[in-house]
Amino acid sequence: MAASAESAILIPGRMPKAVLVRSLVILLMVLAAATFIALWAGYQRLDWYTLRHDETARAIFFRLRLPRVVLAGVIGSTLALVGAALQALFRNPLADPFTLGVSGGGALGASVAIALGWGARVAGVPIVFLVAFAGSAAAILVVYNIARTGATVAPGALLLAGVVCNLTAGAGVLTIQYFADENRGLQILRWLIGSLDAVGFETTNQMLIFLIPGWIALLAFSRDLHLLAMDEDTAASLGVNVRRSELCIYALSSLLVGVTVAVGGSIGFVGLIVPHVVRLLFGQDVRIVMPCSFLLGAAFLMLADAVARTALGQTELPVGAVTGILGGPLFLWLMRRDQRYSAMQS
Amino acid sequence: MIEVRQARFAYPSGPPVIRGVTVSLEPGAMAALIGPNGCGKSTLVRLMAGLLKPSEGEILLDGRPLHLASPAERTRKIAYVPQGTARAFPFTAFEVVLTGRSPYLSRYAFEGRRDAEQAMEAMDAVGVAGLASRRITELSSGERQLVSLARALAQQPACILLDEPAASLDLKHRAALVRTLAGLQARRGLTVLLVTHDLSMLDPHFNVIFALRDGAMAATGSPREILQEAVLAEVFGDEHARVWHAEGRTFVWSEV
Repeated sequence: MAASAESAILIPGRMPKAVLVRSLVILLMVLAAATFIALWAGYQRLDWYTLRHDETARAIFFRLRLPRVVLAGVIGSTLALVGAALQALFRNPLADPFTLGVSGGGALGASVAIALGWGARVAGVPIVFLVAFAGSAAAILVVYNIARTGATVAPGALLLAGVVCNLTAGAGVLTIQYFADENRGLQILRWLIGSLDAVGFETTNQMLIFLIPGWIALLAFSRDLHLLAMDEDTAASLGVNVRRSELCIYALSSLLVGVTVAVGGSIGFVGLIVPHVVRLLFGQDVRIVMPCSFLLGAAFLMLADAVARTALGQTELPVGAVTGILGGPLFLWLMRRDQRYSAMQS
Repeated sequence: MIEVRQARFAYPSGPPVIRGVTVSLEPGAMAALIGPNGCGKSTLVRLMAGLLKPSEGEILLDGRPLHLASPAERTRKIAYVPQGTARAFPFTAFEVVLTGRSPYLSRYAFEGRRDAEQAMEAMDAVGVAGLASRRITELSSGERQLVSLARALAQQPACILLDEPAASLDLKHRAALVRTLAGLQARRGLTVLLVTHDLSMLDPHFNVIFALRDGAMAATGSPREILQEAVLAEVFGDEHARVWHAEGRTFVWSEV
């Protein structure tokens, strides 16, 4: 990396590795700040003094607020990472677990499990996770097979199929909710909008058993995704095993989204907003966009949840409403802009 | 360099596209692949690049089966320039060319300064160094085609396969493309296989022409042998094909 003085060739811009290091440092600081704000914000004001001397304040902090902020971070980073991966894989900046129906499929799976009262575990794994994973995987397979014709994935058809898949899954969830008993019906309602009600650390720990290997494995595909984002044939001619990478990325995305949806509900547009902001800030290189989306996704959902908790005073807004209000207009704006680049043309 | 032996290929649930083709691309050859639309030219090139696997027959790279070569081995030897490239994301032209270095890097390594210099040299060789920091979404299709060629050259391949690179190039750039490829062939011994419909650019720069028809090899030979009215009438099924030799070149057109 040492710059040779006699080098006459002008390299445009910074080298990718330097950009990665710089952006990760910046985003780690952003994440630290977001964590601090999210922990501080809430109907019950907490400060250093009350935390040290007030038993109730300590209970609120450690039993309610801290687990919730951690959960928001975990879910936000997962959704943003999957969003960045799906966008690169489909060469479509509008792709996102929500717009591709992956969240919807997971939510349908989760509500089936809840309605049937499958609170049990198989080998320590909550069945809800597994059924949500299956739902997400089914959705991604359906959407992909509809949009793919021969060697090309039609971007318009992909999104349309995804949105319709989400609507259908939503209708399925409503039907199940209607038939389920009142208690379980209320539980299912959460999945419709997405919420981060206090769940304690136990659930988060269970999620992390799946999420951490999933994160690492998906990040390991960053180079392949960078090449796939350029062009499928080019990626193949540069040594990417396209079919195998695709299959792994689908499986990992379904797993990650299924598990987050099973706990947090389908929180929309995080995977759309966050990678987009990252690209605006740090450029298009997918090897940079992936880890940066991971960090910024955590910060983003922590802050969105802080807004959801505080915006209406004592009443809480579901965090899915906050991300939806931000994400929907952004999606429409991106769609309009991308028509210029003909990214939407089938 | 690349040898195709009795290769057959069909896309899933489609009729056979390549029906027993045998072709030998010699090292240092400057070869063109011609033939009517839909005769299987692109498929043959994709087979030779290792993007597709023949259902029957085999493809050899330096005497060994291509599918047994490791991705690094294959991509360091063979570069492929597709017909068109996606442009969903506004990558800079330099970022695109830099990906040509990935066959030389491990999965998790980033390009170093030396790779960046090689990428810029490749852009310079094709005459698009000035576009380095431009976004590919803002380039014309001809400019993107040249950036794609620079990316392939950054791979420092022994052999380059180009699928209709001249299609969206203007008069000047079409000549510059042939000049660049001929120069690399002369200086570095680069093996070139180019798919084209522009038959007038073949003589005298190319030394072998493969003519494909209906997924089978219809004729193989030097430009002077292939660019003849009788042969072209046979290959393209067009009795209006006309050939004219002048200034050491061969001009081909079809009578309207």
